[in-house]
Amino acid sequence: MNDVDSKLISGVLGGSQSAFQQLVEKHQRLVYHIVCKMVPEAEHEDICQDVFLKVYRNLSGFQQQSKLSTWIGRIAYNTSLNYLEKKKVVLYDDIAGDGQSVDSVAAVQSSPEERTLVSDIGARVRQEIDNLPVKYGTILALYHLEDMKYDEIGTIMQLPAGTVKSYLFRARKMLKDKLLLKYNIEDICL
Amino acid sequence: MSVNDHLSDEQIQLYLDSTAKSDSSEIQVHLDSCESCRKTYLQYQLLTRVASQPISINLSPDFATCVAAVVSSSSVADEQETLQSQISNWLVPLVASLGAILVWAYFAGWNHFWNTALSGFLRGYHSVTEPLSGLSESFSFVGDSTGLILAAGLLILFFGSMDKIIRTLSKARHINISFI
Repeated sequence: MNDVDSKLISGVLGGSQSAFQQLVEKHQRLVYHIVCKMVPEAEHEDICQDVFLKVYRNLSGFQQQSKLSTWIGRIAYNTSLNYLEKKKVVLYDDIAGDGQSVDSVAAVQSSPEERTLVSDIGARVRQEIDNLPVKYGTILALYHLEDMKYDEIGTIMQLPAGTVKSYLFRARKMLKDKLLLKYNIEDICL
Repeated sequence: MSVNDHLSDEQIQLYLDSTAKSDSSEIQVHLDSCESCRKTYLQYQLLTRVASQPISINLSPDFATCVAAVVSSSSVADEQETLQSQISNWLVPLVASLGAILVWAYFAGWNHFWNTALSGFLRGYHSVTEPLSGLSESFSFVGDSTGLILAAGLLILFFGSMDKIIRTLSKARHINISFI
């Protein structure tokens, strides 16, 4: 763990409000990425606040065996997971977020209006990333947006590093296949 | 690796993720010569590039300040709650026990109360002091009124302890009951 995090932890445990504020500012991006990917329909700010309240209450029990960001990420993940369990959201099944299976996506050709609406290829890809099953989307976000390693993602999501790698590859393949099925192949290539 | 043996998706993704790409690597040589695999590689490259683009963080600008303020206020609330729970754990049962004794005394009649309490205490007092007759002279200064106060104290302690035990048990079972 780096010196900055150690100082922040000491400050927070010593009762410094500004230290806690700095801790929130430093890690709010990570927490937001996890919450946003896992519970896209929810009030993100409320859940993020809930995560940081849990961080504050449990910081004295943090063993400092892992990075602070990983520990906070795990709290964010578990908080989001609890929220999803209440909503009974499917986490791993290979279905799109809107309840369509991969096969049914192939059957539904996008209308001209839809294709005009989603004209930008980047926007199309982002849209499909948002439609990925919750855990695949989260792994994708942690790997590509947070530059985390497999074992760090595994610590957050309580999965073996090998499983994280396997899910990441599966997520990207699923994404590619869906895009190829849904849109014109030439659009997807550069 | 021949052009006819296409790369698997996993091989392409591994190559894409590897930080030390070498132009002379077997994969790179194949990608240069196989249009199909190169197309797949470019598709994955596009996906990872889009996935790596930062997304806008839609939190209010003063989010960190607000959370720190909430934490600060909740800490004060927690301290107050702790103090209140300590008071309610002991003071309330004590006052309630005393009240119960007084109510009992009122309805039973003060004379009856005093007689019962006094005789009860004296019986207990003698049962304890008789075996210690050798020491009784040392405690002869303990008069009846002092004994009565002690009896009342023991009663209060008994009711208070019972309440404390029941509160602890009910809390462990997540139910809200109290003896008093």
